[in-house]
Amino acid sequence: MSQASFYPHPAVRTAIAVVVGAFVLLPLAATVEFTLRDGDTGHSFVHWAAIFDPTKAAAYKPIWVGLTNSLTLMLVTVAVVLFLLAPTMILVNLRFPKLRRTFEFVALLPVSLPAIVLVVGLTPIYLVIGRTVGTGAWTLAFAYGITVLPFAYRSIQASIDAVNLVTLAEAARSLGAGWLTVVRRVLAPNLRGGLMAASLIAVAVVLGEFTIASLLNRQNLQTALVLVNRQDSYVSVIFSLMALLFCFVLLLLIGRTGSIGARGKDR
Amino acid sequence: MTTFSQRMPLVAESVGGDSPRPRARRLPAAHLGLVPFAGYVAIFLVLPTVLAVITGLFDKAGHLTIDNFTALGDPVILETFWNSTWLSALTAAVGAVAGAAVCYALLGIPAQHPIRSTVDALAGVLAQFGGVMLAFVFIAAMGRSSVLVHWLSGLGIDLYASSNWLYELPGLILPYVYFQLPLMVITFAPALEAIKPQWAEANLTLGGNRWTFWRRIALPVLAPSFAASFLLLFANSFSAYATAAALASQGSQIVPLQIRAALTSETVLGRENLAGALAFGMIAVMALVMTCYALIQRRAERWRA
Amino acid sequence: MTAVLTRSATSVALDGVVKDFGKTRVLHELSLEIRAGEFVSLLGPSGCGKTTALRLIAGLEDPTAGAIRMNGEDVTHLPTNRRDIGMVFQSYSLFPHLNALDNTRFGLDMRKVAKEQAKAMALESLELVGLGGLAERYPHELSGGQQQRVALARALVTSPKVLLLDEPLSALDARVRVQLREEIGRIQKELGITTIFVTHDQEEALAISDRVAVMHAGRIEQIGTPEELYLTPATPEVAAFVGMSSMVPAIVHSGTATIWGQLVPVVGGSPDGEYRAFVRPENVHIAGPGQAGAAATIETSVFLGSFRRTEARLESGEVVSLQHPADLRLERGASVRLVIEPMPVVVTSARG
Repeated sequence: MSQASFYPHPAVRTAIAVVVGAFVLLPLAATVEFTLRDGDTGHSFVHWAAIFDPTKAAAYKPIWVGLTNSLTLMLVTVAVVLFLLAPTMILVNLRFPKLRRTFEFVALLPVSLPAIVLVVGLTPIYLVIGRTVGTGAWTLAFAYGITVLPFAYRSIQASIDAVNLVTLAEAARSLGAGWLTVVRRVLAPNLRGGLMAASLIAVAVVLGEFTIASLLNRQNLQTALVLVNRQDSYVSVIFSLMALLFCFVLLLLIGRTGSIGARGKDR
Repeated sequence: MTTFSQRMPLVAESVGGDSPRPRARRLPAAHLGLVPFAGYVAIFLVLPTVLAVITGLFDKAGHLTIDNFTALGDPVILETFWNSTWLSALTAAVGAVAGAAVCYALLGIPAQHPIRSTVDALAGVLAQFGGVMLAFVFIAAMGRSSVLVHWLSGLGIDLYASSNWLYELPGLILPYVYFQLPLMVITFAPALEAIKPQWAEANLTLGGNRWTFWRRIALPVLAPSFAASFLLLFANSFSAYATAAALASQGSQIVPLQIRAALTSETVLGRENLAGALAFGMIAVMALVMTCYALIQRRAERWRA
Repeated sequence: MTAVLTRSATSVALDGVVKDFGKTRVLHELSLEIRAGEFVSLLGPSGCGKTTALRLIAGLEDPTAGAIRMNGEDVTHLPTNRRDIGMVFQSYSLFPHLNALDNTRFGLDMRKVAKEQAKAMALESLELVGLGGLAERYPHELSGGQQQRVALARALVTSPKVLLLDEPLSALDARVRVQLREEIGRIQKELGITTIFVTHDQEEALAISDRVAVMHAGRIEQIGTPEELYLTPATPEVAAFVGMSSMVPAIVHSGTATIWGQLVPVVGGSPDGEYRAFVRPENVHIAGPGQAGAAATIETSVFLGSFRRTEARLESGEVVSLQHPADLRLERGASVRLVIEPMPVVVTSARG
């Protein structure tokens, strides 16, 4: 190793990994142990098997309803990201570069806006929506699009910055492509990495959202977990662990697509 | 920003280069393209923010009043703001130090290494994990019926002898650190990776040693990024609601829970529309924190370039 | 002439230095003597070991075997911070949180020089590199060329024994590169400081060095003055890397080569046989009327101001460049005969 190296000593690396690893993993391990309990001392998969037990189906029904609602919300929120946010970002970057800073400010605004504050302002709006559009859970996706906005914006803008959108569009236009073709056949494929990451983040955020749904009295996975937890804490913990695992795999995927994007840039 | 200003003339050229007739027809169309998103943001971001701030200015009958805002000076409300502040500051500080240590431990491990991608993904998940599910995990892991309590009682230690702390304010500390630490890893890692090996080498050739490198170069360069990350963590704790909602069974010790109480029971401290005033208080704190964040971040990025 | 920045110059010697990175040997028993006050360049393509050699002299890497001496004193295992050297890196080496003045005085602070004196010396050093007026600027407020000037001032302010320059110009624009390289030459002459300069740009090395060491695959192929390297390259690698040349068939017999039916002296002793010779463009001419020579066809001819460079294809297929006055215009496809000036040439048996 070079004399000038300021990298940590292997012993320091290991010490940090052990301490932080224990803090992060021990609660999860203890939680897994909790779900495997059978009676006072034994362990088995009885609580995991109970999820599909028809005699308990009625008690667990809110979870399946909440999960279905959450899946619908994911779809609509991803649609908001892909068909409302992304085209507007492309338009701003291509035709209104002077608006870029304003747009960035607006897109990052929700970071400093706590969900609970948003709820205070959304309550009267959703009263109107409830009267006109209906009280379907899917309507929450409009609010979720706002909470997802900063993350989605960052992912998409990163890939826009990586591919010199303006030149790409001008090249396609000079070859005779119309604007729709430019967006569909030239820009979207080049922004695939960012769009993919934005969608996956949207999915992860929607899956874990509780504040807005709970206070606007809509049912999603999280509100259902709280409801069921009052009678049966095992099943809510099991679903929490599975959601955690699902999101972990999702983010590994984002990392993977991110590295594909990076390799593409080298070429 | 340089790329931004460099690109501008390019665009201006391309617009000006079009033949005048199609341009005259297309330009309003391009403006129209902004309308759907602008409308969406107006209804679901701007309007709720404005409503959240101004509902505090009206009483239930719709008359203008500052009564709700005077409630912000009420000792009970002041205490919840104080609770929120110290809880956020404490968990942000612990999360920032521990997260920075993790970033340091990761230095020198190449980006493609499996350890790196696993830590990145794990940090990403856990930073988003602050919510109901996190509360369940901590109840299962260290609640009254957890293995931990079982083992400790075997050793003669009763974790819940003095109070039911996990379900009160102190119980929020560990779960909050649990999502603060990974958020720090995500936000601080780029700053630490931007430390150039040449700086360490230049320090040595100029007669410095390891200590002078950290004391006079690395730490001063990292300080703005660290401060900015700390503020982001503070804001993150300050606005967190779901974990507390699922964990804290009675009382409203922090501001978001106080807002819930105001929203659901309508009369807290005998006041109507108090939620709006509380929301305004939160926005004020968040605006202060995020302004400091932006100022520090600008400085940090200037050095990094 | 600045008083604080001068000191008696130091000689540097590498003696059989070997460096392995894992199983790869990047330096093979490198030996090199640099006289006090001399400006020596290490020149070679990337991966030839030139930067590693410089980092060994700086003490940033430890040699696997061999010794490094300064003024005859063994410094092989002396830590970098006690070697008393000044070093300028390729880029990014200025501390971003310190302004030009504080960057420059960093080495003096490390040496516990009194505050006021350190400031005066740092300002003087910045004057020396022509940045006296920009002392308060931060690195991000300086151009690339200005940043490297500050790095130079910072390296010089402690009056180091040796100045080490690791491709300091490679990240700069062509014009700034030439300007700064001339300035480095001027300052080096003014201070008389022993300087080792690493570069892959042969023009740069030839322009400012007293001597140039051409490196290839972890070895020094040849060390000599710029003229020696250009006129009498010792090996095919040097001939190929230093200056421009074309390769043409040659037959060697008792120390003399026959090229295009003409006799040309050969550098070094090569056994009799068939070879390929390196010929410089300025040594190739168009044959006059009635003169013998090799038949060739003009492919391209490029106007370069005071002269023209023309490429001609021989009947045997090789392309030869030649240089001639700009008023001689040669059309593409024209048939000419080429002759060679009897200057010493280097030959190689390698096909290439």
